[in-house]
Formats: sequence, C-alpha cells, structure tokens
Amino acid sequence: MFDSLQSVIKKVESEGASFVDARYDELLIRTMIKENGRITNLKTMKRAGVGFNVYHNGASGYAFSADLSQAAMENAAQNALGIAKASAPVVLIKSEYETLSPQKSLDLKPDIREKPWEADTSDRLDIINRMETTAKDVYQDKIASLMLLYGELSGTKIFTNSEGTEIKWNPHVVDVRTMVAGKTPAGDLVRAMDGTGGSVGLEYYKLEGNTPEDIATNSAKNAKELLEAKAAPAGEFSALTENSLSGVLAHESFGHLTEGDFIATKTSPIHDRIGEQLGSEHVSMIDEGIMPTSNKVAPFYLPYDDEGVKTDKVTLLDKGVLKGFLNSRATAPHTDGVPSGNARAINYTFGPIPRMRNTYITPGDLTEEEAIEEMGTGIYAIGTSGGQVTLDGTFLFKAIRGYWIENGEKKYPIKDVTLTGNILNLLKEIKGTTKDFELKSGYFGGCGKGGQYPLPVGNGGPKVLFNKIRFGGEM
Amino acid sequence: MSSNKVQFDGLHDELRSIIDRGLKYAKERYPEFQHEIYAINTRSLNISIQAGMVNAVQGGQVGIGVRSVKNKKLGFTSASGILDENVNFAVDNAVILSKTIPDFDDRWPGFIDHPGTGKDGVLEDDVLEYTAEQAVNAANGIFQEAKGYDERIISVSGNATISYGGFALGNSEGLMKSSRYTAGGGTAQISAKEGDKTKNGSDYRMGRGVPDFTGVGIQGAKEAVTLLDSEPFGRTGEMKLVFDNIAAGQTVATGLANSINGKSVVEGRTIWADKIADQVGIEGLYIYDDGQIPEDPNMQAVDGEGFPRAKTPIIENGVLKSFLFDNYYANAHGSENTGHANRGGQQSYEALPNIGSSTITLNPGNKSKEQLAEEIGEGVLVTGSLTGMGHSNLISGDFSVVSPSSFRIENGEIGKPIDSITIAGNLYKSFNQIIGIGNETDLTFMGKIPSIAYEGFTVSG
Repeated sequence: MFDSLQSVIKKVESEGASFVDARYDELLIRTMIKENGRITNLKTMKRAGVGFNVYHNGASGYAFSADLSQAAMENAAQNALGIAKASAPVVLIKSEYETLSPQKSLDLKPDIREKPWEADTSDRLDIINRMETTAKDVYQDKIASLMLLYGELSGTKIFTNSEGTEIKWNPHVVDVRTMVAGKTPAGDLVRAMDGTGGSVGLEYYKLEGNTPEDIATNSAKNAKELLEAKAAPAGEFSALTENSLSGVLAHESFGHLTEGDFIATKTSPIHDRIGEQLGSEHVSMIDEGIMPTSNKVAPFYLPYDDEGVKTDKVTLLDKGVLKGFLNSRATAPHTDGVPSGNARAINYTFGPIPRMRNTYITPGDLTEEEAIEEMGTGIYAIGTSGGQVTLDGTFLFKAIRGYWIENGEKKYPIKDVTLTGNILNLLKEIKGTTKDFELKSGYFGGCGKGGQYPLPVGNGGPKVLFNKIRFGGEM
Repeated sequence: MSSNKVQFDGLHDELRSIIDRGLKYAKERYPEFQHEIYAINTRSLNISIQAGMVNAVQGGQVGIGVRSVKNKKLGFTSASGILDENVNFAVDNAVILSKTIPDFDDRWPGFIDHPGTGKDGVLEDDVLEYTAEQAVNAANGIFQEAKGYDERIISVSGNATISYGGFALGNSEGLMKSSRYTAGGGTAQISAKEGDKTKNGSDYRMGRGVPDFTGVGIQGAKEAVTLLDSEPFGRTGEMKLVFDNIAAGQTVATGLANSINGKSVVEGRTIWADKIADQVGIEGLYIYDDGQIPEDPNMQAVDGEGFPRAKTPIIENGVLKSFLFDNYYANAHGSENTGHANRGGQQSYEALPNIGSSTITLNPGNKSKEQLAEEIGEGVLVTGSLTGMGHSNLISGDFSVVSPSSFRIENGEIGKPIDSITIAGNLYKSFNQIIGIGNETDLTFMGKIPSIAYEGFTVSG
C-alpha cells in the first residue's frame, strides 16, 4: 500500500501539489446489542478507503475514495488538488508548515493479551448474557428496560506523505455496557448505566470491578436507588464531581477550548491567554496519546496522529496556569505551538482536525470521605449522560445521579442533576481533588466534532471538589 | 450533458444492477436464507471558511449493507464500496452472523414486499453542475459578508455544501426500490466580542437545489452583535416564554424523538406507550410527520426498507393518533408500518434500519412572534438552538437547557437581550403547556414548526 500511495503522491506533486498526506484505513467494527431478551443488533462493519490531503499555495483540499484501484486513488488525489487550487485565492490563514524529519514506524499496537477481534461471537454473547443474568438477579423486580451492549473496533491504519514518513499501526477499542431502566410507582422511568472500555483485551473484563457481573450489578443497584431519588434542587451549591463526570467536564468544557483550530481562528475565548492563571492552583489537566493501563484506567491507544506526528503529552493546565494547545501541523504555526499529534480523523471519509486523545485532570491528595466532609452541604454528582458546550465556555452537563450532602453526610439520592455555568468561572472554584484516578474510553459514545462522531477518546480524572456550581433542574 | 448529470441519471440502474447481481450471488450460495441488499452512492462537496482557514472536502458515501435471515435469526454486515467483492463480503458475513445467534426472534416479520412507492423530491440540476470554485466563492461570500458587518466580530465561519446521489434496495421477496436526491446548503457562524463578553450568532439556507446565500452572513453577524448588549435577567421562577421557530422546533422534535418511536413503545421506554387516543396536548394542536415535502432535502420516495414515505398524523386536536413504525416494530406492536425505517442521518449503509421521524410539521396559528409576546405580557423570548436539549432525559421527559440568546418581554414588548438563562421543564407535559402558536410556515432544519408560547417552564437567570 505504501508504494501505491507514494505513486499517487508523486503524480499530484507533478501536477502542482506542494505537499501531500495519504492515509489508508481498514477498520472492522463489531457490535452486539441485546434489548429486553432479544438480540436487536448484531453487526459487522468494514470500512476501508483512502484519503488524500493535498496542499497548494497555502490551501488544502481533502478527497477520499472507497475504491482502491490506482485510477480511483489518483482521481481522489486530483480532486483534492482541484479544491485546494480553488480555495487558494481566499485563504487568509495559510497551511504552510515546518518540514519534519521523516518518521518510520511499522509495528505499533496496544499491549493486549486476549484479542477481542480473535474471539468467537459466542465469547461476546457470553459477556452480554452474564450481564443480563446479573442485572435481573440484582434488580429483582421487573426491569422496565434492559439493554446490554458490546462494541469493538480493530484494524490497520497506514500513513505516508511527501516527506516520506511511513506509519502503520493498529487501532483497537472494546466497550461493554449495561443500561437498566426502572419504573417508579408514579410511572416515571429512571435509568442508570455502567460500563467500561478502552484499548484493552478481554482480560480487562476479568479484573475486579470490571467484570460483566460488576458492571451489571452497578447498573441495577443504581437504577433501583434512582426509584427513590428526589429531583436535584436548583441553585448554586458546593459540589463534588465523581471521576467520570470530572473527565467529561475536562474534555467537553475545557479541552475543546484548547483545540488548535479554535485557537488559530480566535474562536476560543482563551486563544490569547497562554501563561495566565485560568483556574485555581488545584487543577492540572493533561492530554496524551499513550498512557499505561490499570484496572481503573483504560485509555485509547494512539501512537501517531493522522498527519504522521507522534503523540506528545500536552499539559493544558498546570496548577491552573494555561500551558498549551492541541495542534495539528497546520494550526501549530498560528498558535505559537508545535504539532502535538492531535490531528485526528475518524475514518477515511474525513480529513484530520485537532482533536483530543486521553484528557484528564490529575489527581490530588484528598480521600473521598475528606472531600465530602470538606464540602459540608451540597451535591455529589455522579456519572454522566453527556453534555454540551458553546465556544464561549458556557456548558451544560447531565449527571446520571447523585446525593444531597448535608454537614458532610449523604442524606438522600437525587436524579436529573444538571450542571451549568461557564468553565472559565468554574475552574477558579476548584478547591481540591481526590487521590483516586479513573479513565475510560470506548466505542459507544466518544467525541463529536465537525460531523466526526463517535471518535474514541479517553476521559478521566479524580473526584473534584468545587466551591460552587450552578445546578438546574426542577424547583 | 455533463458527466455528472449522465452519472446521476443512470444511478437507479447502476445501483439496481449491483443489487441484482448481489442477490443472485446470495441466493445461489445461501439458498436457505432470505437476503436484503442496500446500496448507496452519493457525492458531496463541502467548503468551510473559518477565520480565513479553508476546509475543503470532496467525496461521497459509497457502500453496501446486507441483512441475511434464516429461521428468524438476522445478521447484518456492511462494507464500504459497491464493487462485487464488497457485496460478496457483506453477504458472506451477514450469513455468518445469522448462524451464530442462539435464539430465534419470534417478532421477525420477514422482509417487506410492499409494491408502492412514494415520490422523490425536487431534483435540481444546478447541484450536479456546481464546481469547487463556485462553492469556494459561496462560502467566501458568506464569510466576507459577516466579517465586514461590525468591528466587534472576532470570528466567522462560512460554509457551502452540495450533495447528490441515491440509494436502492432489493430483497429476496422480489422488492426493488430506489430514491435519489439533490441538496445544497450554507451556514454562517459568527462570534462577536466586547470586553469580556463573547456572543454567537448563526444563520443558514438549505434546499434541494443551490440556495441563494445572500444575507446569510449578515443575519448571523447581526444576531451575534445584538446579543452583546445582553444584561443579567435577574429573575428566577416559573414564567411564560415565547420560543421562536428554531427553539420551538427543537423542543417539539426532542419531545417526540422517543415518545412516539415505535421501538420505544414496544420496548417499554416511553410513557406514551398506552396513550393512543388520549389527550396529550392542548386542543387545536396538530402535529404530523411528513416524509413527502418536495422542497425538503430529507424527502425520499421510500424508507430504508423500501416502504413508501408518507405523511403520518401524530397528534390531532391534542389527541395522540399514531406512533412511528418500521416493519419489525409494526409487526411487534400489531400496528401498520408507517414507513419510518431510517438508516442513520444520510441513510448510511452502515446502519440497520432504525425508527426515526422524517420531518415534523406543526400546524401554524395566526399570530406572529411579536403578537405572542404581546399576549404573554411579561416573560422571555427564547431564540435559536438551546444548549443541552439533546441531553434531555427522553425517558422521563425532563429537560434543563441553556438559552444563550434570549430577550426580555416587558409590557408585551420584546426588549433587550439577556445573558444566558437556564430553562427547565418536562417535554411530555410541554404539549399541554402551549398557550399560543405562531404563524410561521417555513421549513427549517428543525422541521416545519412555528414559534410557540409556553407556560409552566422554570427559568433561572
């Protein structure tokens, strides 16, 4: 494939391209979903294709093809050159970047023992069925809706460019989840979910806390508890966010503001604030491509980005001070940064854009008990069903559940917990973080940007204690 | 005639012959199975200009999705590309998956053999002939318009996009259907800044042809600049609100996304499951799902299983009339298929048919937004997209969203913009909390839904 791609690169270079990136992806995705006793989704998806990012006179164009014949590949690259030429007259921020020395790395894969893509369908079914049995046992009463999910992505990605870089690596992610919905006596439905995933092997699901039984038990117990939960009160309260929610806050509300395209185009409110104290001294935040796996840490493995740049560790916040941005090769010169290995594309039908990898808040020194005690009275918010952020830093997040805390004690469970505010104000409210650290990635869910969803990313952190957060919800 | 036009005119035949050959392969090799082959071939060109950075992408969705069934056990496999080898790969693997399922699914109704077809929407040749230069100029026109509007504008994104193509599907019941489309659109997204305050504005055009993009940049810029004058609302509590057609469209569409979905009905995930013929909204409320609006870029002749698209009554005079079904869940529920099998956003070849609405329409009233404001007297006018609506609890219906662009209503007049407010309520109760319906009849990206006045939502500002 390298030879075919190089021959296309040479061809469009001779037709006026100043620089060419070429990618070949071959991904195999398998999903299995069982809902209320029936397998409703049993899928295999194969995505294979090439994409060319072609530069001309400071402009770039991206075109792709699922047809892998030499003629079709050339045609795609020529289309990319055509749109780059058409764009060149209107480009103000030019994509002209520093030359990098060619990289060659052809055997990159996550450290996995029991390879999910070599498993039998019956092994996947076994995971699903064990979750189903456990969820029913633990919940005892009639579950209004029970959904068990297994997802897996594996394959090969190849990258080469005009500099002669050659990268070949194997992306991989597996994901296992349980969703339990219960019905309250008043007829309202409540929902809890649990699960974990990352660039891990099936051995990960044998570790304590990660087994299908553990996942299903958590979901069922939490759904049961939600039946009794009160709606979260609205207003400003002290708050503690549980690890996965802290991770999503880091990713969604702050991480996106550090992405190089939003910086270069001055769309981000922090584009000119490098070196400034944005948060309290208790918050540090990292984004990186490779990190070690442990039983509560399941990152996504990303050794190189989709521009052939090695994934460096980027410190976004250091004790509250803004230190860095997430760059592609094109955005780096416009952000006074370096290409950090953050240019990612979800598959061959998209060009790479600045994205996060594994983003997390670093742990501190509190225990959970100390954090709750220090909070005094407020909301302990747990889990998340997602959130949304606008580029001025305004955010809204949904926690799945939580507890109302009074004088350092859990008083009663709460549901429909909505956190809102502006991240730049919120970062200043951080009072401390706990020692325990968790990070997950996965196939279901993931990050969405520019139509590219779901891109596997890891989010994580400790529990984070805030002076105050604004909570929405019923009054 | 251009080569694009020739290719587009021949698309039905191209896709149908690929499916014919695939079905022949499938029947010969796996005669004991039933098969359905779905093929899609589209072209798209997308130019985005953000602060002078250009993102230009050309390509298209090309692929195959195969469902194979034996003894009511269904496997699905998709493959990118529509070459014979892609089709064969998908057939072989769908069969493999089907064989691994331990339990048969008693609800499986078989593939459809419905002979009818709906209509295709308007097909516009200008989309087929649109060049990269034209798209760049259109995006740049939107960009320049917005950029020059006001010195407080700090960031502008202009986008122009066209796409065209079609899909076809055939199955072992002898069904063979196809549908084509052409579409064009443009968007402007603008940020304006004054002091520490940053505000966003946006506008768009969409259609089956290449729309006139004039004014898109200016409208988006105007919105962002207007919001810079916002002040704290300073009120918290239950109050009356007027949602413009985008905010109302988003609220209505989100409120229906799960509640009328036939799958959620059958799986027990909607509190409307047993509410057919019940009053779920105010009298005078008429809501439809219309898959046959000719100027709608979403319009297709048939759904993702080959069933004709149509107009389905959902709520008439406040009474719940129908859920949305595909073939599987219609059978499971004992109802008629309504032709709502979608295969993802653009009928992706990777998606299994899944129930989704086409285009939600709500019969307009006879009052303008301003008149609705006059009627409620005191409250808030909520405009544009609501942040966080997509994360509403679709099971309970509870929502809590942030409106970044709202205006105070005082003494019946729409006044100054206000800082972001939080609005909370319940989507399913909201149909009974309508106190006025606006008179807009435009098709937006949220459907054909006018502005709506609500009571009973809680505002925190």
